[in-house]
Amino acid sequence: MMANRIPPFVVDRPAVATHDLTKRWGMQVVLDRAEMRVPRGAFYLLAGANGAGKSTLLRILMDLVRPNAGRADVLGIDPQRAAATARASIGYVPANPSLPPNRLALARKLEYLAAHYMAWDAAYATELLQALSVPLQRPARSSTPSEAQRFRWVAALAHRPPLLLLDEPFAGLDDASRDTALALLTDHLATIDTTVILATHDLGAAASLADHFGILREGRFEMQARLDTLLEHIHRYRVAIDGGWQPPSALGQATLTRTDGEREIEWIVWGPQAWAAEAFRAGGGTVTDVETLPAAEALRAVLRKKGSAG
Amino acid sequence: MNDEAPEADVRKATPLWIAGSRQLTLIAALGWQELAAYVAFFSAACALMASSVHGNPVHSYADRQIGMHFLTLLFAAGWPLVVWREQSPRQRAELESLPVGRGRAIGLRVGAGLFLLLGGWIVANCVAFVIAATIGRAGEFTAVSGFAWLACAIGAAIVYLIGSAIAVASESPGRWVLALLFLVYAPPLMMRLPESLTFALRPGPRWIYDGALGFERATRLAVTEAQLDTRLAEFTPGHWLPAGLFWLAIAAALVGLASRRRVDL
Repeated sequence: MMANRIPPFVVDRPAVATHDLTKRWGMQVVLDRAEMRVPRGAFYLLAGANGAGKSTLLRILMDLVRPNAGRADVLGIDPQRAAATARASIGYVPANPSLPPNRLALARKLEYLAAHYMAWDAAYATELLQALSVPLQRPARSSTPSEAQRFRWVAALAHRPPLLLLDEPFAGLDDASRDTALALLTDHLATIDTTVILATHDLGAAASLADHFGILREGRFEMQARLDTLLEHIHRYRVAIDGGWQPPSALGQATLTRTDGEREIEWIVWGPQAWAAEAFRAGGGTVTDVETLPAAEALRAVLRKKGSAG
Repeated sequence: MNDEAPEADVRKATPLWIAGSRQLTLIAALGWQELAAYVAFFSAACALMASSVHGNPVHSYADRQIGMHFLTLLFAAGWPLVVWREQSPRQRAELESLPVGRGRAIGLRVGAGLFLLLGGWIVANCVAFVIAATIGRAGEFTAVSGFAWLACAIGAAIVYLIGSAIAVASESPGRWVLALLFLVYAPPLMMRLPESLTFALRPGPRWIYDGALGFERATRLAVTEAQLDTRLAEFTPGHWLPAGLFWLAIAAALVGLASRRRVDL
């Protein structure tokens, strides 16, 4: 249905792009000719359910995983050919960032990592460590998942990379640490021209920062667009109804969620506002309120509805 | 190949000397206790040996000390397990996330481990020399051919590199057992195997173990001769060097092959 389509953005020179990227784990296809385009300077929210292929995609960009077919382009570099150069420009927070269980104190560990990045900013690293309360004297093997996660945040940001790959970066963080991490990320974006790809199934924390998004479902990109374009196309409608109400068939596929009462219904609908309002009227309802959704809720609604993308 | 040139703000990969030095300090930080235990054990054994040869002009202290390098071979076989502890191929996400080429990162870690192994060996022998000096037999050390000492070092390097290849490529904890079995049983097995295959592989399959290019000659000739109380003053490169270099090349190639095994992380 043409009314439901949103225009894809055009990227002349993407910071990150993938071309027909395919990855199989045995018989399971994790990425199926995935085509991602991330504009330079974008904050790209990579959304999808668990197992959709988000982490695998980010690992391919780091060359930690090799695709079965297709290729990636990271800041103009093919990571399969020049992984070291690509990684030098990437700050990476992996999913489930456990630390190698050895006796090295986190301070020594950070020194070890710092030496590998020519652009490491020691003063900034100290600020990050203090802000995130990383216990530097603790041995890596004794660190909690939350401490490991905060440590990874420091390691990812302290060399001020032009590209951040954040894979479920808030998992394991308490609310205070998550807010601190978000604030640090905001500061980082304000001072460095950075492209961010944040993969998560928990959209609440980072959706407010994102300006682009992609929805990965079963290994394929179902949708990629600017977030503001998405928000222009999704609204919550409150509609007064009576006994003559007939749910409009025109809205069938475009309805993302619906809450039906006896006198009022509340639907989230995908498509131009005038078109949806007319459809409600045709069904015998009266639109009493139209609300633009917050980004996280809009994305959740799209994620819940398989095949909602145009 | 990408159509476009890299972006202007792309950073440079880590220079190799920095990556190598960091692998060195990391392994030193993680393995100093094992290294110190080796040096201490070697020194204690040398001290015991010194007391047994003290006042006995028949036995050469230096020869016997070279015989002690069997301990070094044992340690060299186990040292890769320390270098790669908690770093099986599936546990290397951190190492492989660094801005260093994957093969280079592995090679640098193996090289750093070798550097520390040989450093520990030198320290252990310096301690042994001091012990020899205290019993008035320091002169025996200079009488031993330099090639005998070199043979010990290269022998340890060969065993270490083969153990490293196992540790780099092997996923399961069974690699520890495999490496130890290699050390304990490989010499006798390699001795037996050529015998059992003699008929099928004539002529001369024993070269694998004790031929001119044999593993035994490459790794343990100096040790064996010392244990036989052969004076090592006449130990010449012709005895050992071809086999040593041959197996050193094979061991290095094995590490190279092992590092090519790639696991999706």
